[in-house]
Amino acid sequence: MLAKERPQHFSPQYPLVQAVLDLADSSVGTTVQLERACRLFAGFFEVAAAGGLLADEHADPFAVAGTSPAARRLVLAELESVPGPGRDTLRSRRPVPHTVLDHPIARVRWPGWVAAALAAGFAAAAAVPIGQGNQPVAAIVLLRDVPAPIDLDVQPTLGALSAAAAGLIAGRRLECQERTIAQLHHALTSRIRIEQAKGILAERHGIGVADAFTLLRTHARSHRMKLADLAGRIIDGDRPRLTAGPG
Amino acid sequence: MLSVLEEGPGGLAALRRVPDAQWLSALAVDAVTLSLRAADSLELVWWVDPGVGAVELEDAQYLVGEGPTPEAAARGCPMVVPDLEEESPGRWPILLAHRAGMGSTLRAVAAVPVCVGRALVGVFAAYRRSPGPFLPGVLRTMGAAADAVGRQVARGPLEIPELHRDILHQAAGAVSVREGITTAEAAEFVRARLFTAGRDLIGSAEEILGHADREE
Repeated sequence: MLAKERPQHFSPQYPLVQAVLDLADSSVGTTVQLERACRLFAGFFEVAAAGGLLADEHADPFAVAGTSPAARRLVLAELESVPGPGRDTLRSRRPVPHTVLDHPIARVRWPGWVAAALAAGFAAAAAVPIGQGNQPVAAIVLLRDVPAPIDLDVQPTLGALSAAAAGLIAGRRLECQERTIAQLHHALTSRIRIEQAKGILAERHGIGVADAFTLLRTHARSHRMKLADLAGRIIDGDRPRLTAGPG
Repeated sequence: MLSVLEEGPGGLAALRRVPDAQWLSALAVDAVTLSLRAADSLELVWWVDPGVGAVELEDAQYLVGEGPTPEAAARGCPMVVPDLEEESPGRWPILLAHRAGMGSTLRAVAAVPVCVGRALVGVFAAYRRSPGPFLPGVLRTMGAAADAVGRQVARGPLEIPELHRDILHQAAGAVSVREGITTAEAAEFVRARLFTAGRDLIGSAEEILGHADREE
C-alpha cells in the first residue's frame, strides 16, 4: 500500500517519482487514477481545477473525473456530446492552447460549454491529450479562474509524466476490460447452468421447470449457496436432498 | 440517439431507452438483434423484431451453427449480405436451405461484432426485407451502434436478462438425466433433435422437455 496521507494538490516541487507511484497504485479504479492525474496536472500547471475524460479506441470519451464538482460537470457535458476543449484535444491529439473563455472565438467554438464554464466561475481553459503514440487514452482539461495564461510548455518533466500516466491508465483500462469480460462470461454461463439444472431437476422429480426453480432457489437460500454454484453441483451429478420449504 | 444510451444506468436495459422505432429508422432496417457469446453458444438477449422473423432467423443460425451472426463472431469482422436469396448456396448450405423452408422474407443482413476493448463479446445484427447493399452511412451508423452496445454491456456485465433460448438449456438438462449423458452432449442432442423436427425451436424444445410443465 502506498502512503494514505496524500497531498490534495500536487505542486511543481512534488517529487516526480512519488507522483508516478500514486498513479501506479493498483488498488484503485480507472476513474480514481484519472482523478489523480487531474490533480497532478492541476498542480503542475497551477490552475484552479482540472477535469479528465477517458477515451476509448475511437477517441470517444466514456468516463470522466474532476478535481472539483464544477470541473467534473464540465467534462461530463463533453461526455454527453457538448463540444469543448477535451473533445477537441482527443480528436486532434494535440494540446488545445490557453483560451480565454470570454472571447468570441471561444464562444463560437464551444458555445454551450463556454456558457457553462463561465457560469461556474472559470475564465480560461486549455487541454492536453495524454496518450502513447498517436492514441490518446485521456484528455485533461485545465481550468483557471483568472484569465492569466496557461503555459503548456513550462514543465520539461511533463512529457515523461504524461507518458507514465497514459501507460498506467491504459494498463488499468485493459485490466478493467478483462474483468468486465470475465464477469460477463460468468454471468452468461451461470444463467445457462441454472436453466440446465432446472431441466435436470424437472426430469428427476417429474415436475415442471417452474417448480424445479422453486426447489433450486429454496435449497440455495436455506444453505446460503449461490444459485449458480448449486446449479453447477447438480450438473456435475450431485444429488442434494431438495425439499420445497416456504419460499 | 446513441447519447441516450450513455445517460442513465448501463447494462442491456439501457438499450430499451431508445424507442424500437428509432433503432429501425436510424439504421434503415426492419429488425435488429443482439447475441452475446457464451462458452459454447451465442445467446440471443435483446431484439427489435416487429414480427418480421429476425428472431426465427437467429434461431435457425443457432441451430445449424452457420450464418452471418455465427460467422461474424468466429471471424471478428462484419458480415454484410445484400441478398440472402442470391447468396451462393455453398456459403452456408444448411442455413440457406433451412431459410427457404422457413419461408423467411428477410433478404439483407449485416452482422457486426460487439467488442469490449479488443475482445469480441457478441454480435449486433440488422435485417432488412428489401434486398440491396447497405449504404456506407448506414454501415457506419451500425458500427457506432455496435460500439455503443458494447459500452452498455461493459457498464453492466452482470445484468444478463432471461435468455431467449432458456428452454433449450432446460431441455438439455432434462435429456442429460433421461439419457445418462453430460449436459454438453445433451445440448448437442437437443440441437440435432430440433433440427430434424424442422419446426419452431421453442415449441419443439417444450416437447422435448416432455412431461415437465411449461414455464410462463
